[in-house]
Amino acid sequence: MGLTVSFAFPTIACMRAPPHFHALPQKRNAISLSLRRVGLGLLLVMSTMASAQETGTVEKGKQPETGLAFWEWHHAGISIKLVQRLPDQTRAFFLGRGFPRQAADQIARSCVFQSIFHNEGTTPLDYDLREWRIRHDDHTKQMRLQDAWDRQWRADGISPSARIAFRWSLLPPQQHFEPGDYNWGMTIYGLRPGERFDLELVMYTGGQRVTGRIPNIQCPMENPNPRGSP
Amino acid sequence: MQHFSPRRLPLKKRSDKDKTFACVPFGVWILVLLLLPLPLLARPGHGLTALPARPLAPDFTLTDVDGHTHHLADYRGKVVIINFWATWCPPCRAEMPSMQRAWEKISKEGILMLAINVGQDEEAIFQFTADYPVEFPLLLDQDSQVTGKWPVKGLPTTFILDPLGRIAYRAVGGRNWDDDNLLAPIRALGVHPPKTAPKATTPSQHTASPVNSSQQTVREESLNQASAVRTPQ
Repeated sequence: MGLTVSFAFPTIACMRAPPHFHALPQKRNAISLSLRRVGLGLLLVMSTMASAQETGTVEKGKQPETGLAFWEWHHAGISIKLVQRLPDQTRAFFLGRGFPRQAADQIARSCVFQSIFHNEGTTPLDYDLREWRIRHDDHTKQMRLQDAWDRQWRADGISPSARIAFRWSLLPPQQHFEPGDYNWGMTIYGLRPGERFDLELVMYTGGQRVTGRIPNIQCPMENPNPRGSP
Repeated sequence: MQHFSPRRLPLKKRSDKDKTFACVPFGVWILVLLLLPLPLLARPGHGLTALPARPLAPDFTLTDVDGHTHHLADYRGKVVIINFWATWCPPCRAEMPSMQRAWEKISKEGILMLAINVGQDEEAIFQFTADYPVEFPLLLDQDSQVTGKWPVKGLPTTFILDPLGRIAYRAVGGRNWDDDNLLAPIRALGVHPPKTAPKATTPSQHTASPVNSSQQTVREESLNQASAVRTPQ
């Protein structure tokens, strides 16, 4: 949007009439000035709209090494990449960290993504996952975060070492990134394998609230490419 | 200023020259607005964030995988790199070889490097070191009690302590630690050790936020000129 405004401004502000136009009476000069004022007004409106709108671009693709789908949102050097984690991958990971089968299954089938958050912009960045929203089937909900999971694990009698591993394997619920910082971590969306959703992002950078949307993300399938299928 | 306010000139008195100049400031605006996005598009390298307040690092006593005990306070007078990591964390694994290469460079210079593993046992780390052999101490924080006292939100996170035991720099996420540009400000901490005594701070102050612009001013002016260092805004 910044670029759009930058290019729009000179086009409107320096809209000069051709030579023959200036040779005509004041009336046309007045029209020229009016156009300029209208242009400036439009510019102000555009700037206001820009600050309120969702921004960023989304790239969708497949990881070359694994074939797993990813969705990546970019804006002004900031990026967040969500890479599908197959339920089998996640199940094995948490079984290996000491989770009992049932709990590992629950996590694995809750739509888990490896999330890679980079700040390669020029200003510090802050986010709080409590502000992010999941839009699915005309419903909006929040992500289930560390504290909520931890309450469940404590109630289920999950071992402290497993709970510690779980906590540190998630994307931090809040984070402050200076330029050049980044984190990896899992995000869990609480949807069934194969379901689709939009993710609404909120973050703060350079004194601005930045919002974005990653549309039509698909939760990893239990068995996305069984033997024999294309 | 008249150029920005053409209405102040009676229209009938404006010559072609006036009209031309009326647009000059807009031309300047064009240049400014075209150049503004350039720094936004630049991608700075991963560096270190200077903590101007230099909070005192929370002390700890931890055992490493070889059974040696490390008491942080014993390392006063030295520059110490403290890395929080786990074997299952991909960027932690990715930066380990560069940490080993950095260790080979800086250990002879009296700089220490301690990698604190969060929540895992000796066996997990033993298996890890088969694939990632490292020579610097790997400390165990199995109950993550020590990690919880540091301002760590995600793994890996690395802190650089000055010889007074204060946190001088922080890096969230992995780095190429053997990059000499990254090592320069770390080495400089040992070359120009601060002479002031550390301010006593409580652990809660560390966990709240290590970055507070209202705290002490940066003392290492010359260090901040290094390209790998940035001061929090």
